[in-house]
Formats: sequence, structure tokens, C-alpha cells
Amino acid sequence: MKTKPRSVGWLGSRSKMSVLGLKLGAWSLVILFGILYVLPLGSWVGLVLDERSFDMNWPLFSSVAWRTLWLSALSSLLCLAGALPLALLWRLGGRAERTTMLAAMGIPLIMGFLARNWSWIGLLTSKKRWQSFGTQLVGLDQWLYTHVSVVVVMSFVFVPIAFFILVQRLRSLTQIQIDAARTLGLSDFRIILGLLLPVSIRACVHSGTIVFALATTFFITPQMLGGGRCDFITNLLLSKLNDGDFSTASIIGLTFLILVTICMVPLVYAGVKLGHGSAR
Amino acid sequence: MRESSLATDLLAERCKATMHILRDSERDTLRNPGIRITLWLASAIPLAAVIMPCLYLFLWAFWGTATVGITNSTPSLQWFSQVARSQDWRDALWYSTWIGILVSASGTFAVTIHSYSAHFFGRSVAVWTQFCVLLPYLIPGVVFGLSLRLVGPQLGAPESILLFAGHLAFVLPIQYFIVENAQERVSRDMLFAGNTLGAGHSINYIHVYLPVIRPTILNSFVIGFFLSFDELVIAAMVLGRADVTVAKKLWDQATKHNTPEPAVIAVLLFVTYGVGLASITGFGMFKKSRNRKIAI
Repeated sequence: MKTKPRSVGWLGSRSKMSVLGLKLGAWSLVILFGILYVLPLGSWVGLVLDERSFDMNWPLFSSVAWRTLWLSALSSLLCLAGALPLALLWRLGGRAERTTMLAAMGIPLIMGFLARNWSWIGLLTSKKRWQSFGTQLVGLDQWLYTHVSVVVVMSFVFVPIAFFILVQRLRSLTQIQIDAARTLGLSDFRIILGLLLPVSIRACVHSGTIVFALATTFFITPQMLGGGRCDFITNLLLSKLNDGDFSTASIIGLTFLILVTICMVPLVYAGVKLGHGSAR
Repeated sequence: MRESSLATDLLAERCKATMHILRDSERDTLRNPGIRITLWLASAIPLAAVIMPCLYLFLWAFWGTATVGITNSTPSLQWFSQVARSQDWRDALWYSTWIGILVSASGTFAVTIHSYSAHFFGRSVAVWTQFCVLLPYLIPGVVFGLSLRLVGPQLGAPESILLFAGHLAFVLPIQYFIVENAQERVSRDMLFAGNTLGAGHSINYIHVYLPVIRPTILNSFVIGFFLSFDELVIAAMVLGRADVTVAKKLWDQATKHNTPEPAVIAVLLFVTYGVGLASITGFGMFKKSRNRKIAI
């Protein structure tokens, strides 16, 4: 039986320094993030709010921001649609299916985002049809350097990340619960509908939130597959930085941060609400 | 006698935990072949779309030319030798490797210290920690990179420190969730038993806690290393022209030429991971067979 004490930091501690050390250890990640993350970010926000001279093209920013948000949302939805059957197969399948899924999703993460984006350019521009692995057969090459190729490639690039987050959440449904459902006479279809899908919906909200946040900040695919016609906010920001215009880059960054935070609030709220619903 | 029975109890508990995980993970739940086929059909397109670029990288690395999309008829190692002979590439590989090892080791250490200590405290620690670790993935990474770029020089921090800080902030959340998931194998009673019997926290951490989560520590380190190696957002914001990581170097050349260096780096990473995994698995199997022989 697992015990859950409120605080037994005194156990094993021979002195007050030892208790203090244990407390520091417990809060170490919070302290680390405070120093590494919150401090620079907070200082930067302070610098930006003091900024008076910047050259901001608000119509350009609005159109690029809108494009970033809706293309990221679309990519996230497509990504989830692709990752969910993979995660369900992992959860319900046997050892062979699990090993296949883990290998198939792990290898792309090892090989890297940048290389895979390059690879998509190669697939879509390959002179030999067989080397396109069927992408030219479905006509995807005609959409190179357009919004379509950006959305499609971003969706598939993020599928491994969404898969691992979904799998993480689906693990909360134990084999004992599935066995109990089967003992009560439920078929595979009813088990998926009644047990897995509710957990999957919660998992999809969490996964979708993370993937959306990653997609908004992505600049590799929009630049490489967009051909300059589909730049995201990050591309705009990078170009300002490369020009040495730090003030405008900071204003762009802060405004975009506020926009993304507003978009994330309903997602985070939904995730928390669904999490509390599952606890009941 | 008391110590040996305690040791036996601890061993029995570890066996039970392992068996529970094996039972849970290896059981094939699907009985209806129609459902299985449907799931496989639904998974076919995303699976193919995820695997295809990786296969193309192998094709491009060995058969590639200076133009992406055009391949030679015979394979060659010319691009591998070009990367090996280039001082710039060797410097970038070395820089990325030691940054990756440092970031991954620091992150793994910090997370294991936290997860051990958190066993002795209430839920508020876990709640605040989860909130903090999610921040780098909820707030646009480019904004954080920008803040490092602008605030760092004012603090007098060199680029390598900023890069280390940025990478650690992105790698720590992943390592945290990996180690957190392993906590179900760690019995709080086992930790408390060690303390009750007189072990200090450092002894308890090293001799009781770490051996239970040893595979998790390795997973966390390896995943942290590859995440740091491939990280581009912070590198693009923070690094100048002098020392660059592999990801930054690949990005800088993205607009200039289409030579297969990205594929070469990807294949090298894959081979490194494969060799590492095979070595660890082989060593583990060798140890098991040796222990079995000793037991007999």
C-alpha cells in the first residue's frame, strides 16, 4: 500500500541544513525555470515596454500573424487526426505493433526536423518518380512552395510529437480496466467507443495545445516549403533581427506573445476542465 | 536476519512492479480483426508520411548530388568524406556534441534530484513544477530566444552560456515527463524504509532510488542529447558567426545550396543511436546471461 504523507522531509534528515537541502531539491526545477526562463523573459518584457522608437508595419504584421495562427491551427488538427489512430493502435495492439510504432515515431525525432524538411523538398522535386515515394503520384508536388505544402509537411513533421503525448495520456487507461470491460461483455468497438475515446479526447486537447504552440513558433517549414510566400511571424522576426532592428523585432515578439496567449487560454482551460472531469 | 528479510521484501516488490509493467505492456487487447485492420488502414497514410522522409534521407546521403531531387545511379560516400574533411563541420559537430552532453546531463541530474525530493513533500510541489515545465512549450520559443539574445549581452553572458540555458529550458520538460512516468515503479515505502533504517538522503538517493530508475535515466539522457543536438530556435537567435551548432550551420546553408549535408548528419545521428542502443542492449543481455550462469 502506497503512503502519501503531506510532508515527511524530516525523514532521513540529520539536521536543519539537510531538510533545507531536501526542500531545495524538491523546488529545484521551479527555481531553475525561474532563473533560466522567467528572469530573461521578464527582463526582456521590461525592456520592450520602455521601447519608444520602432518601425512597425501593422498591416503586414496582422496578415502574417493571422496566417501563422490559422495555418498552425489547421496543421495541429491534421496532425492530431494522423497521430490518433497510431496511438490507438499502440495502446490496443500487441508487442509487434507497439515496437513498430515506437520505432516509426522515434526514428524521425532522432533524424531531426531540419533534415526531414529538406527531405520533403527532395521528395516533391525528385526527377525520378519512384524516388518521390508516391508523393508525386497524388499530385503533392504541384503544391510545393504554397500554403498546402507548408500545412501538409508541418502536420506530418509534428505527428511523432503528438503521438508520444497521446500515448502518454492513453497509458492512464490500464489493462485491468480494459479486461474488466471485456469481462462485462463489451466488444472491441464498444471498448474503443466507451473507454478509449473519452480518454483520447482529453489526450487530444493536451496534445493539440502543445502542437499548436510549437507550430506557431515554427519557421523551418514556412521558409523551406513556403518559398517566401508563406512566412510565419518567426520568419518576420528573424528577418528584423538579421537587419539589426531589435526594437521592431521585440515589439513583434511581444505582440505575438499576447496573441498566442489569448489563443491558448481556451485550450488550456479545456484541458484543465477535462482533467477535472476525469478525476470525478 | 531483519536486514535480509527487508532486502527480500524490497526485491519482491521490485519483481511485482516489473511483472505488472510487463503484463500491462505486452497484452494484445484487440480480438476483432476488423477493428485491427481499420486501425492499420487509418494509420497507413500518417505512418508512410512520417517514414518516407527518413527513407529519402538515406537515399540522398548515398546517392545524392549537389542538387536536391537529382540522384546518381551509383552510391558513394563522397558527402560523408566531405563532411569529415571539413574543419567547419568538425567544429560544429564537436560544439553540438559537448553542448548536448552538458545540457542532457544537467537536465537529467536536476530532474532526478527533484523527483527524489518530491516524494517527501506534498502535491503543491508537483503542481508548481508541472506549471513551470510546461511554460517553454506554451510560450513561443522564438520569444524566449529573443529575450536571451537581447538580455544576455547586458548580463555579460557569453553565447555558449545563453545556448546552454536555452537548450536546458527546452529539454528539461521532456526529461521531466520521462522521469515522472517512471515514478510509478518507485515505491515511496522503499524510500522511507531506507531513511527509517538510518540512511541519509544522499545514500538513499544513490543506492536505493537511482538503481530503480536506471533505464529511465539513460532514456532521459539520450533523448535530451538528441533534442539539444537538433535544437534550432535558440541557436538561430543567440549564435553569431563564430561558433555554430550543427543545426545552425544547416539552417545557414538552407538558402545557399542544396548539397546532402543534412542527410549525412541525419544518417550519422541514426547510426550513432543505433550503435549505442545495440551496445547497451548487448551489454544488458550479456550481464543477464552471466548472472543466470552464476545463479546456476
